[in-house]
Amino acid sequence: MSKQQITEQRFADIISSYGAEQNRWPEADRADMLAFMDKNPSAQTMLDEALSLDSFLNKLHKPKAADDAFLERLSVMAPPKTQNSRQVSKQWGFGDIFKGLPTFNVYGFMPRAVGLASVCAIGITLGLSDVARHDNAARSVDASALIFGGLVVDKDMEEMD
Amino acid sequence: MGVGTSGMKDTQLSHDRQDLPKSGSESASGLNDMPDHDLIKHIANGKQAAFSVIVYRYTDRYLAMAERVLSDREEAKDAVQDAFIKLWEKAHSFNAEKAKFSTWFYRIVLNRCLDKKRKKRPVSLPENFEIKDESQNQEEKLDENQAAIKVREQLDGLPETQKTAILLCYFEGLSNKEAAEILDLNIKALESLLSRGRKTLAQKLAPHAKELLNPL
Repeated sequence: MSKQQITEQRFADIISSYGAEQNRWPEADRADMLAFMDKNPSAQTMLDEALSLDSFLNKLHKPKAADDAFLERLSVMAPPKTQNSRQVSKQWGFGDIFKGLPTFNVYGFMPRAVGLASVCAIGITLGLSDVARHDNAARSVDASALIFGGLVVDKDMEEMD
Repeated sequence: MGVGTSGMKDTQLSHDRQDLPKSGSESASGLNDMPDHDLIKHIANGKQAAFSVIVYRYTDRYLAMAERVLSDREEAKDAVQDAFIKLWEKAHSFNAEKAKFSTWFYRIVLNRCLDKKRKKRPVSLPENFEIKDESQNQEEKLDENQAAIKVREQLDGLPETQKTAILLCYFEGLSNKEAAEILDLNIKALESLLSRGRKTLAQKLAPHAKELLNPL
């Protein structure tokens, strides 16, 4: 029950806004509305006027319930969340090396990086094989030295002297 | 009774589904009995089963509202579908302390409906178009279906805000506080809209009162 007694104007306003059916009146005013009706027979006239519009509105059909196919379609339409796909990509990857750098398309750079790395690898391999070749030559000199060692060295030493 | 926890009137909950997703699915493991705000948390975390429960719980109610606003079943389905997509994407923005889910989602569906209405091109009338004098049809006999159509037409003719206010308070059975919240109005402004809408409707339907109240 509200503290303030309802006035005739408030009664009229509520009927005009919510109609004649009690269950549509604001809950806070309902008890006062009923009390006002008991004390004021004229209130019934206002109710009757509102009642005819309520009857018109009650003519409207209640929309049909959703069909099962529609419900099924709605319930399965939710795509996996972006958040989840981000979690998948959380596994550490090559791209993480570039984290913190200015905006940079890591994945666009990848083919170039692979190409560059391949060229480097080929270069290093060739370089190493060249060193190995020199190494072999050096080793064969050492072998000669081992076989003819003393003589050669001594001869050289003599020439130097 | 539906499992919704919105606190809506019983008559309105009759819209809600009993045939929620079948047991055995992931959704059956406690989600069906879960309050709306908890389900929304799950949806925000990407749990599709929670989304499915909300869909089964509320589609009938919101589809009915959308159909009343748009007066078109297929458009209403589109609007509801759009709204559910929005729910899936924006569930994290729902704040259970500020609003009930049902009220929050009413606003989303309603906005989708109003967007659709705005996008509809108004039909241009020919220059020699004459407005039919409604009072000439007083003797016309209406059956129940025609009476409903007549009321529907007059309701559709109201300014959008008046019509929406009537739909929310009268057909959706929302409290004045909930309806005001959805329409972003104070109670006084809502009551003013309702009063003006009802007055206009009463005037427009008065010439048909006899046929409407005593149809064939």
